[in-house]
Amino acid sequence: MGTSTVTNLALDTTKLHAAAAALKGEKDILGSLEADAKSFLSRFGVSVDDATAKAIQQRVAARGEGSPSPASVVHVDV
Amino acid sequence: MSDETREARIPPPGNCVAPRSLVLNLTLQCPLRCAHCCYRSDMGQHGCLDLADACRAIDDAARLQNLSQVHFVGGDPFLVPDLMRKALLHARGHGMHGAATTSAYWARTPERARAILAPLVDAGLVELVVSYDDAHAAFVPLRSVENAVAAARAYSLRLYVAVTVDAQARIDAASLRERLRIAPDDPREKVYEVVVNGTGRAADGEEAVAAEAVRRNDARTYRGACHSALQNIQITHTGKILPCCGVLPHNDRMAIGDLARGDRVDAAVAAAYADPLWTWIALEGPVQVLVQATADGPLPLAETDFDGICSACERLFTSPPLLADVNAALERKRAGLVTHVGVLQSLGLWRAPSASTEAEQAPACDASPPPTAHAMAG
Repeated sequence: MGTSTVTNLALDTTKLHAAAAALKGEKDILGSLEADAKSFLSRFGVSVDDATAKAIQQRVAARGEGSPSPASVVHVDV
Repeated sequence: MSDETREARIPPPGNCVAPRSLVLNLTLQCPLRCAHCCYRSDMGQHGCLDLADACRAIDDAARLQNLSQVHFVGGDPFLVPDLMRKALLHARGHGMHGAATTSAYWARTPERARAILAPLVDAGLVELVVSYDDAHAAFVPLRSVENAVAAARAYSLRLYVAVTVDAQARIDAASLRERLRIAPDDPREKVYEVVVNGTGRAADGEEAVAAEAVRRNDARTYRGACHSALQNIQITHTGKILPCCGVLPHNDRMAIGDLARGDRVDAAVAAAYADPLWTWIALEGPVQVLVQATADGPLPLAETDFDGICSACERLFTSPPLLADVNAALERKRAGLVTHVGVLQSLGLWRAPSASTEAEQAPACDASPPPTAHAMAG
């Protein structure tokens, strides 16, 4: 189990908040993230590692439209 | 017992990380003894969640804004139908709908299937998940599944059929769709496959190692983000609070709380959302966690070292050295996780609960002793 919390991080979140505002203003944000999350986020000054970029791309690609997720005692439609 | 029905809760989109389901694992008892069962369920297991704890967990979970479902699993929850019915009524009082996972062993005739489902439907059951595959077929005739499916249709339940497969599977999703007459694009009835995870009874015996090696090379094996962690909050039959309902034996190292200790489910879940390890598991999955955490060490792990995400979590949480490696890696990963969460929040795809201290007005709970776990066996 982790010993510290994400929310307690001492991190300069100004850049992230600015990026979040910019993301909301994008027209095809999901398509852009799905195509290349790393490059798209870098436009807003946010850098992510390859694993994070891949995970973001996969999540937005799912679109929440629903087929059961594997590996769960109950299903989650993602 | 209140049967007041509040306005139904709306679940978040499927790709959103949010608490969506309270999974009550009522008992590990099961009249079957499936070869791949992650809990090693059979009638030799002991213990049963009592109604008072089930209702308390439901009251706590009702404080979680996005949580819209209470889902009964086991073992087989149909061994304790009256407990399930009373807990369903209690959940309905909070506007939650009910679901249950079963082998359908109880549906020996069409009449019996309808008679058993009827009081549960009256109490708020809207969804039935039937597990069926080669291992289940050794104990349950397909006729029973057909009876359960027919009864579910008669009561307009949403229906899922979960098929656990490996390389040699005779029963698969396609064959069951044909036999049960379920169209691939039917929005209310779905048949889906999951590959066996090498956990529980699937990890027992001499053949397990060879079978796991085959699964590691199976293209269907899933090694991505965990869509159960932080979303399906499980209460075990002993009252432990787990942040997922993964296909692996209950492990105290994974527990985020304990009803017996007086812990509140909503507070435990809020704390889990602030825990970077559970965040990492939810966003990238335990295989990635282990691959990245061991990358610079003497024994780096590869994706193909795992036959699924649940077996990866079992390896992580049963190995103190691996857990130490991961905790050390979290120091390097934390900033990336904050960014990841921030991006998802901006898209509305991360909805962490706040630790509310306000108790929602709870319906009364009829906490009379639950029936014995043998009530419907045999």
